[in-house]
Amino acid sequence: MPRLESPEWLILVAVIVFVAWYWRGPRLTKPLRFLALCLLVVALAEPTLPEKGHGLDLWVLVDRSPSTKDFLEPRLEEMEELLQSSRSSSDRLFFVDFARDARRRSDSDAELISGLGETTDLETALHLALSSADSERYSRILLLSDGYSTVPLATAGERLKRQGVPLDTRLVNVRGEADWRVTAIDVRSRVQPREPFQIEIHIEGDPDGVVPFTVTRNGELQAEQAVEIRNGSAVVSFFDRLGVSGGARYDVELRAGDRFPGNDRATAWVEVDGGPALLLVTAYAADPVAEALVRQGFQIRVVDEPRKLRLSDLAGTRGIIINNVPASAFPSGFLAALDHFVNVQGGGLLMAGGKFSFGSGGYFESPIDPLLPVSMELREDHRTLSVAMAIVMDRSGSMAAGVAGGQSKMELANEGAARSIELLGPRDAVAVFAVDSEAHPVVPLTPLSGGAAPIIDKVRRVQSMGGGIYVYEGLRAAWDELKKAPQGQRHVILFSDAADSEQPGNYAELISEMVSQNTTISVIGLGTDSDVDAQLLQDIALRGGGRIFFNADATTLPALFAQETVAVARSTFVDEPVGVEPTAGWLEVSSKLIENLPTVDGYNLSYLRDGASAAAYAIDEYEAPLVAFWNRGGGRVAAVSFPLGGEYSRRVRRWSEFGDFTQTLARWLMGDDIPPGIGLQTRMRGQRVEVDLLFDTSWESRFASDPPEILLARGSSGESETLVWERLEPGRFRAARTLESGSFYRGAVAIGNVRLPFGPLAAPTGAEWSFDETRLQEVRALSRASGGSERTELATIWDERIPGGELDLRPHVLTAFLIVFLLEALMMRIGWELPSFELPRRAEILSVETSPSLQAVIEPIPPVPLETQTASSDERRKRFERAKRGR
Amino acid sequence: MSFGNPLGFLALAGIPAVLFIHLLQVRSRRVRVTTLFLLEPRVFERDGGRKIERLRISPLLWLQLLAVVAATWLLVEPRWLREDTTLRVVLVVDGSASMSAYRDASEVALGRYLPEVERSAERIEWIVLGSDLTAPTLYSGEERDAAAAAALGWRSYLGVHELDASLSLASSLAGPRGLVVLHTDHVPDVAPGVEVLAVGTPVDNVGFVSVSIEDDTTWRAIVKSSGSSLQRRSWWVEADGASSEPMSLDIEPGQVRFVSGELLPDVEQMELVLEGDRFALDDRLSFLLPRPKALRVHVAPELEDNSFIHGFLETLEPIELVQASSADLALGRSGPTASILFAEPAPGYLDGPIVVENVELVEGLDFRGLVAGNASAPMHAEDDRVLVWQGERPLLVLRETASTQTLLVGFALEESNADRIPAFVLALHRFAARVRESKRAYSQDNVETRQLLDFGERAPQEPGFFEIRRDDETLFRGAAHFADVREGDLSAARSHEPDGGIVRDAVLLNSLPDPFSSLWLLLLMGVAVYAWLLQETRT
Repeated sequence: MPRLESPEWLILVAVIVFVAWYWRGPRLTKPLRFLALCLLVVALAEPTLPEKGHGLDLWVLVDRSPSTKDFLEPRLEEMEELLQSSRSSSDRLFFVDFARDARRRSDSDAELISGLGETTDLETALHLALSSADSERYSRILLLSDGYSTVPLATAGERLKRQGVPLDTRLVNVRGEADWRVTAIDVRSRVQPREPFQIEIHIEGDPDGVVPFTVTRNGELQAEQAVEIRNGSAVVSFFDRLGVSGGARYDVELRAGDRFPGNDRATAWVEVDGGPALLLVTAYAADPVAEALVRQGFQIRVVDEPRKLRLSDLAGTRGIIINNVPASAFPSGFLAALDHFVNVQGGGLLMAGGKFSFGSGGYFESPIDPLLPVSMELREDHRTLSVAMAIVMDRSGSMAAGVAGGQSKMELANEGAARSIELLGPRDAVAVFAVDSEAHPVVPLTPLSGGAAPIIDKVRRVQSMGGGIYVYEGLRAAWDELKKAPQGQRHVILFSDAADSEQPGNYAELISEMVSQNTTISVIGLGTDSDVDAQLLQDIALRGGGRIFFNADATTLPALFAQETVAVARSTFVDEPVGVEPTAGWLEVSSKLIENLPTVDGYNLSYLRDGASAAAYAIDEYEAPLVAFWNRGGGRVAAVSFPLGGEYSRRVRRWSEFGDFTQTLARWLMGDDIPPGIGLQTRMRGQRVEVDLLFDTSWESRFASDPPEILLARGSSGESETLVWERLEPGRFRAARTLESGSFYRGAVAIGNVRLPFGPLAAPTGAEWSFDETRLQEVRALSRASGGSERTELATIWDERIPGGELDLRPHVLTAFLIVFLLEALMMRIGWELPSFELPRRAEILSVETSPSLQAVIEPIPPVPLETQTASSDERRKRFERAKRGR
Repeated sequence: MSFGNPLGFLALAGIPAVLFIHLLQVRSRRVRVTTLFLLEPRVFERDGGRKIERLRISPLLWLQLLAVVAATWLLVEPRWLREDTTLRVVLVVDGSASMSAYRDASEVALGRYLPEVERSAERIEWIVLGSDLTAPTLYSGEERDAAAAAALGWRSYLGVHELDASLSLASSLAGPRGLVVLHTDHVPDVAPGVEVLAVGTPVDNVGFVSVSIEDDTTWRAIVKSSGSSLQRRSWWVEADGASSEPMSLDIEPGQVRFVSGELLPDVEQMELVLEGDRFALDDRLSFLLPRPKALRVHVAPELEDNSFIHGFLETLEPIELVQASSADLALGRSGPTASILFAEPAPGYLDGPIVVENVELVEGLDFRGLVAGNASAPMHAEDDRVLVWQGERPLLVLRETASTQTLLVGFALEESNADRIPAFVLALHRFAARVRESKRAYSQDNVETRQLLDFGERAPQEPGFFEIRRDDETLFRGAAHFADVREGDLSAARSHEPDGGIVRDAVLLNSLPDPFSSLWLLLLMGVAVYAWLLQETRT
């Protein structure tokens, strides 16, 4: 509704009415004139139209991170009360507590303010507030924090601007306390296997004294010593050497127990470059592939405990072979990291078949699904026996937390459950339970023959309700439903917070009963395998004969649900001998066709993707690819869908060309050697990495037409960022980038098809305690750009008008006046008339008076005598004659 | 004064409307009367058949025009800058070489945009920065023209470089209520709150990339086209004030071509010239015959027959063998400035892991595989910097004083396999390169523009020949050429004008609305009423 800023001017309307009545001269009673005057009065009253509703929604982001809480929390209650008491009835106040995670506060979950993590992810908190903001009302965001976000504000700024939400800040000062800190670890970023190298640790701080510290390598204690700080600094150096290719992480920690323990730690990565090497992740104790490749002289690193793999194991590796290992066996983030490894770093990837590979191994919609040259989608005619599936979902209070992108964990879990239901077929049945302290049936056991849409609709509406998840209750409810299922295969997906899974009860007995009746249980644990309840979840999956997934990144939940569903609902492994039809596609890799392999004992059913090449097909009704390959980015990916070891590999292992086949494939996977005349040097300078590309003159012409590109990615699945090369001198480019603390980086230099990988890299000091001034400046700049400001008087925030938030209607009213005014002038000129209204005449008003004296005044006029009328007629005639003569 | 709603000036269209209305012939009102005599007070103004008549200036006309003008005044929402308002504007000028192709466009764009900005506060503090953070502030003051002149006058020919750091600095300088403007030739992603004033347009450019001297007899240069179509350019060679005949070069988009020729006898320097285009930096490539500093080397008699030393000396060319007392680098003896000394052999071999310290001289070198005989005594003193250890014993030690530098080799050369360890050879070479670099002597070379030279100075940023002199002595002659081909690729150049949102916000923030607007409205009301009164009187 429009609002008048100066409504007192409306009194003029009454004045105009009076004037129109009293003063007939200008004839203000004419409709257009009256309207024009009224418009001017309205203009005087300053009409505005709020673009959104009245009142302000204030979103207060409260920083609960470790570096801030001691400084903010003592004053927080007072601040919150001040904001509450100073708002008007039309204003609304919301709180979002955040650290690594962000959570909208409600009365019921005040106890959950702790456990938000150890870093400051302001980006996620902003997205949560912006996603929750009511677009029909004005919103502002107030940040109560030290301002040192541990992540850059990459996208929140644009969104603040787009939504027109100003960001105000109230920043507390947390600096100025005396402490000791590790400022740098000086070490070469790349060494050779078994080459000794030096590590220098730089420590600074006040006061001088002896500070004990420890050094660990990949988590194992290497040294425990003390160093004397003199004049505010000290340097400790020691030597080490590493044996195998990969990355080693060194952590230094001061044990002084000072004011800011967070900056007492530092990290450095060293890459061991052992030359061309392959990483073989296998399910077999004596893998025939490893034996064949070792015989051919390949450097192979065999990993038979995939759970222990780290991202740094990809460093110094040219290719990875996954030989019949299920997706769930890999640690969180490892598979996601393979995309960067292949596309950007130019590595090779081979997936070999078996009952734990491809769709059967849970790779459908896994992070490496798009990399593979074959697809694993469900096709109805290839389904296994029908499945009855129960999905037990955690809806405890922790699920309300937001994640990057603005969605809550609960929404992502709902999306995952919906994805599972989508992937089931009409012969399957599903039941869904949302569990907190009891199991709430969302969908009772329902056949999907009636369509999945209504079920999915219900599942997407599950909301987090507080409390923890009572695991036993959930499993019990699922089992009670599954018991009724006619399907031969029954499966439970238990989704639970690995840090908040309570009341397991006598789960062992319950699971035993379920397993005995052909029921399996897989667990998706939100968190890591080091969380407090992770062991319980692992045990449930183990007893239930299913898989266990841990993932701290909730955004991957839909994919995990999909992987699990396909692994259960689809029998992709064909366990019958099948003929092999070689194709000329193999000639892209080898000089001859695949020969002397008439049949294989079994294979994983999959479908060749567009653009991929097949080297052999199965001779059966599916005509599925048995060997397929393609190039992805700078790397290469191959899929061999028959087993290369273990069960169903007897014929393959006896194949006379087995060694030749594996070594040809391995050589192709490893790609070309780095051409001569070019080299890469990486160096950490504090938080900044410098990458130098050195080249001789033979590269000059190539770089002229195809300049090198340098890509850097953060984390396991982070998007690659292109850095800028600066040309320093002939034969040397340099790119530099300040690394975010606490993050892990990898990268590569791309020169056409050649890739020069580098990393892992990490900023030496901890994110939360590094007090990176850049972050503080970024928050301030963001606040300024959004129209916000630093707030010293919190109560005044309610007085803020949103810039441009109210539409001034005066120009419109004045324009209307002008049109009316001109129209009126035109009509008067050309004689058009609108019907006008007449105010009662003063005389008529008098006529209703009852005063006898006035009645006398309006008495009828007596008739005029005829003579008088005749005289008047003469006079009029004369006047007419005068007029006729033209005056 | 500024206007909050410039569109309000459209209301002036009311003036011709009023004039038109007054050109229309007044149509009489039709009044039914019973008798003709009532016509007497009427004034007939109708001329039969005509609708347009001549304009009669009347008080009514003036009043109506006044009403239109008053309404226009109110509609345009005049605003007056507050006297105490200051806006700090930080203009960041992209110092990339590619900007040199858009000087004229830059002048026009700044001439148009800066006055707009100037209207946003009573006082403007201009700060002009280059995107080269090593450059001093180009201008700081309150003169708009001086700021524009500083921006236009800055000559910087940087290669591709990051703009983030300079923009971050600019944001800090501008403060929370300031304005940051990036003046460039493309449209980069910038942080919110930064306005981009881009003046680029795609340009077909062909230029030299580099030149190499081959076998001291021929030169070979690389030419690249970043044009969008086939380009034909003529090129020629200039030397000693003479020019060769122009030759024609056809080059496809994105293509790299080579041109080559023989070095002229007794000619030290030459220039390759391409027919000019808008990006001139790569149209001229100067080069000269490289002449490194000759190193005076002394070899101790006991090392003269050592094959490793012979091979090492060959790689150090040009050298001159001299006595130890005048040597720049003495091998096996202490020299006046630099020496490499080897330990005396002792029975047995060194044992233990070889560890390399994090020192530039041995950075990235792998000494594993080195087998060295024992030495007679430890060679290093307390202030020495150990570069390489074997076990507890130093293998390579650097000793530096104010005037000398010595590399101490902790084993006897003949009692080791050091000649087959590349790391050892490289370490000696790096040391010799340091000695050559620190030697005060004449040299000449081809370098890139802005390349950091041994003298701690940079080569000039504009291509051409140059000299470095110290104490009236010419120490270096160089030929600098522009080599960052990415800057010469102008195909991605774009123009962009800021949408003015930030400036408008600043205007609103720094100005006050017309305090008499209510008075003008009342006046307008009075004018309207009076006009109607006149109209009624006339009719």
